Amino acid sequence: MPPQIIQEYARAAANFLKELPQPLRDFILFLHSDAFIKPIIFPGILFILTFVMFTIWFERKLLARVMVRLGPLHVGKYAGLLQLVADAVKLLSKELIVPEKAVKPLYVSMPVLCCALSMLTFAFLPLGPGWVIYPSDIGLLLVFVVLAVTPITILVAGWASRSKYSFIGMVRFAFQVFSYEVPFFLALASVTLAARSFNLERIVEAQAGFPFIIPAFLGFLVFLITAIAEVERVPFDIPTAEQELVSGWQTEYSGAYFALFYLAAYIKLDAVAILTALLFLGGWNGPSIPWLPGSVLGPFWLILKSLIVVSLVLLLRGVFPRVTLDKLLDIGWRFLVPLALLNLLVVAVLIQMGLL
Amino acid sequence: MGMEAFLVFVVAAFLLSLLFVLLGMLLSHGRRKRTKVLTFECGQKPFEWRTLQFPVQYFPYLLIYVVYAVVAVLVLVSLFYVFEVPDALMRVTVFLAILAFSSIFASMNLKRLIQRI
Repeated sequence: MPPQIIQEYARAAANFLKELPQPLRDFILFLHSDAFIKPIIFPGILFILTFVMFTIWFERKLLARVMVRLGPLHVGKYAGLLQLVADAVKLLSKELIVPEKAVKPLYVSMPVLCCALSMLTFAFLPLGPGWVIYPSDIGLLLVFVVLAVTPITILVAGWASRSKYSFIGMVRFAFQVFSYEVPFFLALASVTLAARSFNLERIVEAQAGFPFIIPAFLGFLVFLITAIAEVERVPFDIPTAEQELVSGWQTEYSGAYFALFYLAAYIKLDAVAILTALLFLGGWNGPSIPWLPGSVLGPFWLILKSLIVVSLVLLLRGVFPRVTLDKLLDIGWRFLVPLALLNLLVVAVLIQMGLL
Repeated sequence: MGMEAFLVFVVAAFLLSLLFVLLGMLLSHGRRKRTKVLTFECGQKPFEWRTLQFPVQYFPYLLIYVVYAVVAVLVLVSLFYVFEVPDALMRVTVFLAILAFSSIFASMNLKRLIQRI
């Protein structure tokens, strides 16, 4: 289209906007502003939902390939892409059952809280230079706080179900939280020491030369292991062990409530994968590609890196057996914490030598 | 600056989660039965529910992790110290060395924990 016509269209649109009544005009301007686009479209809700849908479809396809199966095939035009929509409709049309022994207000509210809180992580994760919903100087600490608060909803949900399986799963989950939280934080601390900032954008800028996985390799290992425990994936899905505990703390949940917990688990997985890419794999730094415009380049590299992390975490489910709880507690304080502290020491010495 | 966007995001996240429950209420069907609301118990009639099922054998681990939580707070404070005063890095390095080697020493010497209590 020639530029004159575009200009005419723009002028016509501006005139049209002037003639509209005040509240409607304000609303249209709001839809156009950062305060709407960021939370709802790009780093916000729609992006999260698409990413989560892709992750779940990708997991089913990947695990099927690991087991030499075909995976979802029939729903949707290509490779069962719409399988997830069909599953969602099925889950939502199931009867909403509240067990008679359950503490009803808590039982009903916890899935909603869990899903909303795990979405809140994305408010502080920058997906490109400037692409963040809430820019903050202590962004990393805020992400850590949200990730540390979300388990409480799960603990309350497990307790409020008043079932043996839920209770056992809840106790296991409490011990798991105990064991991974400290090494998780210590692994984060090494990155902040290397970048000398808690601001996630600043941390990514500090990795312009080389990603932090090179000086802080031990920290990366500890972070990845604790992140897998954080999102309850196999080898560390002790609280929701399907085979022994019939899904642990989720046992009594069905229908829409279960759908919310399911969604929350995958939102957390994606958030943790993006966090790993931001902290250790260099974030949105990457070689430029000729056919990609500069504003898309950053998010492209970041999402590519986080997809690599996601597929690594998903692949573990097809390969590893579950560890027992005492083994996880043992690994936590005997290997992960000393390794994380050693990694902090290595980073501090590297800074002292002027290499970082 | 990003406060408005943050508030919109929080409200949208909660509304989306509530939307799921509302859709579930709208779409769900089925008659309420006594057997449906019973607690899950592998086909048997439910036993009575006991509150005290705490695995005591893992209690030493809790103590250890509480101690390490204090260590984590100390590390956080020393990080802020380094950000504020860059010259303090030497002292913090010594502190981290003490922490790292003492934790390695502890993990080498306390191999079997569960049986102690």
